[in-house]
Amino acid sequence: MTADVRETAEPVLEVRGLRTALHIGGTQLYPVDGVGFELRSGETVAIVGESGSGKSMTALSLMGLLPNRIAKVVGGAALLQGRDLLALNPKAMRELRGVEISYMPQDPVSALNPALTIGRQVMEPLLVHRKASRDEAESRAVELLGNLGIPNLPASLSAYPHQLSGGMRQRVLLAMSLIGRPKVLIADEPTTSVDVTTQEQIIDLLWAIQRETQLGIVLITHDLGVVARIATRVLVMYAGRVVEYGEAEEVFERPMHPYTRGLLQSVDFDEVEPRTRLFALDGNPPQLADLPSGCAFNPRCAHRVQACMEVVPELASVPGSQSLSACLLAAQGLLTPASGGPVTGND
Amino acid sequence: MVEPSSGDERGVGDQPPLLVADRVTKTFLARRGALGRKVEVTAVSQVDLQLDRGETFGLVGETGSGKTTLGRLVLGLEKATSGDVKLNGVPIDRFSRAQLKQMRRRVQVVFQDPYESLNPYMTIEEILEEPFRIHGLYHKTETGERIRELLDLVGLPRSALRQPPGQFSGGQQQRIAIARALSLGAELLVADEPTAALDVSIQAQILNLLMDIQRERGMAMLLISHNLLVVRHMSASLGVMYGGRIVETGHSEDIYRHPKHPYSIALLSAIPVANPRRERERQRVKISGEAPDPAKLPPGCPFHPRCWLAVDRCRTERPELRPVGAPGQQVACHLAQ
Repeated sequence: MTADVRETAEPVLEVRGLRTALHIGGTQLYPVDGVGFELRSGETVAIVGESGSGKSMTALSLMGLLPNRIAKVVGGAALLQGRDLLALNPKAMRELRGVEISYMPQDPVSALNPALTIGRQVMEPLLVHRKASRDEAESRAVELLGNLGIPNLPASLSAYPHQLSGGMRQRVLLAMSLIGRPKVLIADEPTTSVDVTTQEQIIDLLWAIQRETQLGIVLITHDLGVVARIATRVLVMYAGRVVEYGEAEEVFERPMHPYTRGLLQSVDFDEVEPRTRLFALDGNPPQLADLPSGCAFNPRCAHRVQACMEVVPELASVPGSQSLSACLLAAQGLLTPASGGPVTGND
Repeated sequence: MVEPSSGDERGVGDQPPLLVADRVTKTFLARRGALGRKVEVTAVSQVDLQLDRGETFGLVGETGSGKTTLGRLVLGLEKATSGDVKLNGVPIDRFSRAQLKQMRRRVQVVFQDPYESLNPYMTIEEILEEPFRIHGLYHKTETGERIRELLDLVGLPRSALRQPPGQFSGGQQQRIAIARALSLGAELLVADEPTAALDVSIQAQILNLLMDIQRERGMAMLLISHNLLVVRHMSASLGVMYGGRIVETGHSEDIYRHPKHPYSIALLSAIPVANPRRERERQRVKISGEAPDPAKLPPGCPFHPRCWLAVDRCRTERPELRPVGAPGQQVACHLAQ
């Protein structure tokens, strides 16, 4: 095992206390509020959450791609091999994007330019950053696209996005993100818009590339199965805050936040008889403009006590667990499997 | 019990089954390629299915498998190129105008995206009143009473009535769409990816709601989904679609425990288990390639280009469904046993 190496290796990306403000209609909201994690080379940190939880805003904040009229990073640090991305000016950030840290956006249809060939789009990061001549860029594009399973190369370089299937477009996006040989890839829902058999292929490709190049991956997803397949560590977000953070196996086997538990239980079809009611979390994810006081999850929480409605819990260690949890009860060791219902896979 | 149709259409007692698809095929003419040449697209090919009152049949498949077109054929939104869709034993093609209007009350649909299917300029009350008005059943006090019952049924507060759909979350909007679908007492609900657009924590709520309503009202459901786990949980029987055909059908548990068609095996294997340890330990069958474009279906078995078992016969001869495995299980594969 390389666990010891991992423990001691310097993180390639270290995010601390990231806070992003959103100005809408005269009010200030915090879609990302105190997010932090460490990513080492060759590892995958999965950011899990529902719509509005702040996972995509976290990615955009790190990449310097926030819509700058309404959103702004107001706190924290994001050290990419020691350099704080959040302190860089737009020009300096542009120099890094695609070559040191890449972003793979969610929707291949809107992320690809329909009027340009895929070859041109895949080569672009190299040409823009003058990292390669046109010939070199082309041969690297052919090699990379070939590794990613695009057939008929180099002829396919002159194909347009609409001529490709959804799965092929996803591979092209991945090639665009990887051609500059970044150290970190932030992939936003890379498998959401594709079929399940294609999803498996994309995840296996990411896995293979990671093993070969020691790429650090920040995987943003709502799909807990995908997380289980590829993540080293998991960060669970709810209403802009991290509610649980830990090693993937630990989080899945012994979830230490009621929200994480509820999510895992609600997708565990094996624990329920077919055609009987599933475990379901009550209520809906909160609106940022209308957060409850105290813990944002408290209106949906089966374990809530008075303090949960008064105190915003900090991410803290949990007795008997290696994970961090932002739950007052967990921090006091009161959130045991017995009180939290069946814990997935804990047999 | 829902038995996968084998041609004989026996329903419960003397009644014909609620829904039967009998060798249903649907082809479209579509323009493809730079020259816009017209090509024939076979979206659904020779599909049989049977659904009895109060039961759920699940259709599973990936993009282009034909599952949504089959749903539209059942709803009468598309006309079959050949074969029959029968409701209570009568082919819907032969319905009179009056029968068609009746069918619109009895067969209803819930789509994937509630936001797209609810008029943003109407209040929830207007949305729920509309079916009554269209069918000439509107009566101020009685309809009001029914609408309040519907809100209770789907778990929304009465205060919702005065608000437009935009005021509600995705899960709540889907509840409204379900209430509307059930407003005139539907006997058959076609649910096309009813939870695919919803947050993870909301999916189970909506699935529970559909099961609760089914128990309470006894309606039948044709559940269409890409998610085999959801379909298996919700329906006693299911059909796996690929390239416009049902390639495996039978009792959901049999298919889940012992899938016989190589595609079913691959599909089940591709679904990641939400547990890292179990995910690491389980055996996987990996397939390459993608689901076929319905305009370019390969000859023979539509799955053969991706199949690790394919032999020459699979490339030329299209396999028909035949009994394999558990009672009621049928598989369209030359090699399955």
